Amino acid sequence: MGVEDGQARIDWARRSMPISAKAAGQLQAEVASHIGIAVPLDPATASMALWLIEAGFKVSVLGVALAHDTAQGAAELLAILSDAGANICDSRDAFVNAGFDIALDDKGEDLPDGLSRAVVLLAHEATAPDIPIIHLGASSLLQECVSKHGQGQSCVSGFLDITNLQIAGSHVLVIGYDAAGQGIAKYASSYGARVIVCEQDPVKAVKATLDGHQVAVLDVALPKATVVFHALENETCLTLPQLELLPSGAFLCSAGHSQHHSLFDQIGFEVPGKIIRDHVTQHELGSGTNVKLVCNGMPIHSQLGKGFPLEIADVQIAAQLHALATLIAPECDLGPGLHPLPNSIEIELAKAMLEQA
Amino acid sequence: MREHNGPDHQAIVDDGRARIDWVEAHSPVMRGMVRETLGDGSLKGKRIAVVVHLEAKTAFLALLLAEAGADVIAAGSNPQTTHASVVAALRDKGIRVVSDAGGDHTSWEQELLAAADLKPEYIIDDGAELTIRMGMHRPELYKRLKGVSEETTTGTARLHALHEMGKLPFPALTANDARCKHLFDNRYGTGQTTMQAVLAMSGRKVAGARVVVVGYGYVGRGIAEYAKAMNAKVSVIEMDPVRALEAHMDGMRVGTADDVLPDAEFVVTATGGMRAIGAPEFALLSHDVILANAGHHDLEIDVDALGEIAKRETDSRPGIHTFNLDERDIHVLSRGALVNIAGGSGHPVEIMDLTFAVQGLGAHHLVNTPMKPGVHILPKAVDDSIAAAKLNSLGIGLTEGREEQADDLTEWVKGMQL
Ligand SMILES: NC(=O)c1ccc[n+]([C@@H]2O[C@H](COP(=O)([O-])OP(=O)(O)OC[C@H]3O[C@@H](n4cnc5c(N)ncnc54)[C@H](O)[C@@H]3O)[C@@H](O)[C@H]2O)c1
Repeated sequence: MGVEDGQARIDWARRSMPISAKAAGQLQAEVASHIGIAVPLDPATASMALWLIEAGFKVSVLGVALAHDTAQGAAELLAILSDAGANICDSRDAFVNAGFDIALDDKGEDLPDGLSRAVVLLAHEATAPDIPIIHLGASSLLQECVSKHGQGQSCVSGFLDITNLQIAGSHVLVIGYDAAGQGIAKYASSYGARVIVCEQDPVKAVKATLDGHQVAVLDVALPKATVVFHALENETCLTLPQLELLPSGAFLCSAGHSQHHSLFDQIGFEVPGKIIRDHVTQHELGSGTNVKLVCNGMPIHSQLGKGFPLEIADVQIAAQLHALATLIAPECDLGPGLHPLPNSIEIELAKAMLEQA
Repeated sequence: MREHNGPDHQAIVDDGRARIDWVEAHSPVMRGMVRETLGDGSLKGKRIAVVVHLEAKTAFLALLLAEAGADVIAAGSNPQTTHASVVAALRDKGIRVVSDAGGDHTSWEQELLAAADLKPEYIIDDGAELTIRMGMHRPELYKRLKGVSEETTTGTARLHALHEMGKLPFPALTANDARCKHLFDNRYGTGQTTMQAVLAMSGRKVAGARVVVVGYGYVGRGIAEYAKAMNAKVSVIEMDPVRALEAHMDGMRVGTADDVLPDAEFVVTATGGMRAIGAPEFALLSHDVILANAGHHDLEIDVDALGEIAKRETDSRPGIHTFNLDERDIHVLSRGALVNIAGGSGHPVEIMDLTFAVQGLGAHHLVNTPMKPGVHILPKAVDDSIAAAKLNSLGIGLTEGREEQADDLTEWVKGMQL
C-alpha cells in the first residue's frame, strides 16, 4: 500500500512536470557518473532521482532530515528509489562517504572531498569552492517562481489550512522583503490581509510600498500584528522581549529556505511550549501573554508533506537537470567557483513556461 | 481532568474538546453577545435539532444552545463531514448526537430519521435536509414543528417552494438572507476555503492558472475574486445578464461554455442548481482538467453522466477521482461534493462566528416572537447587532450621522404647491 501510494503521488506530480520530463529525456550519462542528491525529498524530487537513474547515472540519495514530506511519505518515496537502484544513505556521514563525483545539493554546505562538479540550489554567497558549482539561487527566474510564488502560495495557504482561520482584515507582518517576503506579502494580501513589511534595505522597502504594503519598524508593527511571517534568510532579528510587544495569541511563522534553523532555536524559547493543535505550539511569555509558533518555526511549506506547487517544482527541477547537463558536457569549460545558471538555460526554461501559460 | 471515559476514549474526547476550544477562542461574537442573548432563560427546555456539518464550529453552537438550557439534538448535514472526536466531545457533555463519522448516504438517512423521532420543536437546518425528510416521512411530527432556521441558498429556495405549495405549516427564518450570512459566508468564506481546498488537494500552482467559475452569485464571485487576487486568469459562465455584466466589470473574462471551457485548467461550479457541467460540457474539456464544486448539490458536476462515458476510473490521489475518456483524463475533486467542506476544513472560524450568530439568534427569535407560518427574514436590527458585535471585538468604531447630514427632502416636499 505504502509504496503504491508513493508511486501514485509521483504519477500525479509528473502530470504537471512536462518541462523537467523533457529535460530528463535529453540527459545522457556519457561516463558512468555517480550523483549524490541532497535536496528536500517530495514526489517531484523523487521523480527527478528516478529520471537520473533511467538516464544511466548511479544515484546516491541523502534519506534523512531534508524531507518536504511527512516521515511516512518520505519512507515510501525512499523505498521506491531504492527499488529503482538508488543508494539510500541514512546519515550525512554515509552520504558524504558514498563516493559520488557530482552533487545536487540543497545548500552546498559540507560537500564531500573528491567531488568534481556540483549543482547547488541555494549556496552561501561567500562560498569559494575549488570545483565548478552552478548556483541556482541567483537565477531571477527561479527567485520569481520558487522563492516568491512557490513559497508565497504554499506558506500562506498552508497557514490557513493549519489554523482554519481567516486573515482577511488582519494585520500580517512580513519581516524581510526579499523574494520570499514578497511572495508571502503578495499571497497574504490576496487572502485579504493588511500587510506590514519590516525591511532594513531602503530600496526593498520602497518596493514594498509600491507593491501596496505598509512599511514600518518592528516596534511599531509588532503591537498590531496578529500573524508574523519571518522571511529572513539567515539570523533572525526577533528576540523574546520583542515578542511581548505582540498582541497575545499572535501567530509566529517562518518562510524562507532556512530548513535547518528553526525560529524556535533562533529566538531561544526556554521551554518547548504546549501543543494546542496540529502544527501549533503555544508559548507563554514573561509578560503573561502568549505566542503561537506554527510548525515549530520551520518554513511552513517544508512541513506539510507537500513541497512546492507542482508547476513550480517542475521548473526548479528542469533547471537542476539543465545545470547538470551543462556541467557534464564534454565542452564544459567552467572553472572552479560559483557560476550562475547560464542565461541561455533561463531563457529556454522561461519559453517552456510560456508555452504552458 | 475527567477520567470517567477510560484513557483511550478520553483522548478522543480531549481532541474534540481542543478543537471546540480553538473555535471558541476565535469566535468573539458567539462567545460574547450571542452567549449573553441566548442565556436569557427563554430557551430552557426547548428541543432544538442542529443539523449542520458536524464539526467543531457547529459543536460550539450546539454547546452554547445547551448552555442556555435548550435540549439539543445534533446531526450532520452530510455523511462525509461528521467528525468523530467532535461527536465524542459533544456526547461527553450530554448532548444527544444521532450521527457518527464514517457513514454513507444510507446511514445518514437513518440518522436524520432518528433526529426526527426525537421530536424536535425547532430545527437549525442546512439545505432544509431534516425539514424535508420530516415532511416526507414523519408528517405528524412535521406539523408540530414550531420553527426552522435555514442556513443556505439552496435550503431557502426549498422552503419558499414548500410555502408556495401550501406545505409549510410553521414559520421559517432564512439565515441565508441575513446580510451577516450571505455577504460573508457565501462570498469570503466559500471563496477563500474553496481555493484553499482546490490547491491543497491538487498540489498545483494558482498564479497564471486558467480558472473557470460557473455561476457568479455570492459564492462564485467570492471564488473568482480570491483566484484573481492570486493572479489566476479567471473566466466566468453565467445565465443572468446582470451578474454576467458584473463579472465583466470586475475584470473577469465572461463567455459561454464553448468559449471558456476548452482551455480551462480548473473549473469550479457554484450555481446552486444541478448539472451545470454535464454531458455537453464534458465534450469541451481538455486533458488533465480539474473539476470542483462549491454548490450545495453533489450533482452540479454530473459525475453520474461522467461515469457512464468514462472508459476507466481511478483514484489518482485521496479525494481526486480520475475519469479516463479516450485521450483525456478528467479529474473530479471530492466526487463533486462541496469541495471546501468535503475536501477541506470548511469555513474559517471567524466566518462561522457570524453565520452561527445568525442561526443562534434566529432560533432565539423563533422561540420568542409569534410569527405566521411562512418564510421570514431575520429582523434588520438583529442582523446589524451581529456586525456591530464583530466590529466591537476588533475595536473598530462607527460614526453616527448628524441631523444636518441628512437629505433635506422633507423641506422641499413641504414647499411643493400640489
Ligand atoms: N460551499 C459552501 O460552503 C457554500 C456556502 C454558501 C452557499 N453555498 C451554496 O452555493 C450555491 C450558490 O450560492 P449563491 O449564494 O452564490 O447563489 P446565487 O443564487 O447568488 O448564485 C448562483 C448564480 O449561478 C447562476 N447560474 C445558475 N445556473 C447556472 C448555470 N447552469 N450556468 C451558469 N450560471 C448559472 C445564477 O444566474 C446565479 O447568478 C448554493 O447551492 C448554495 O447553497 C455553498
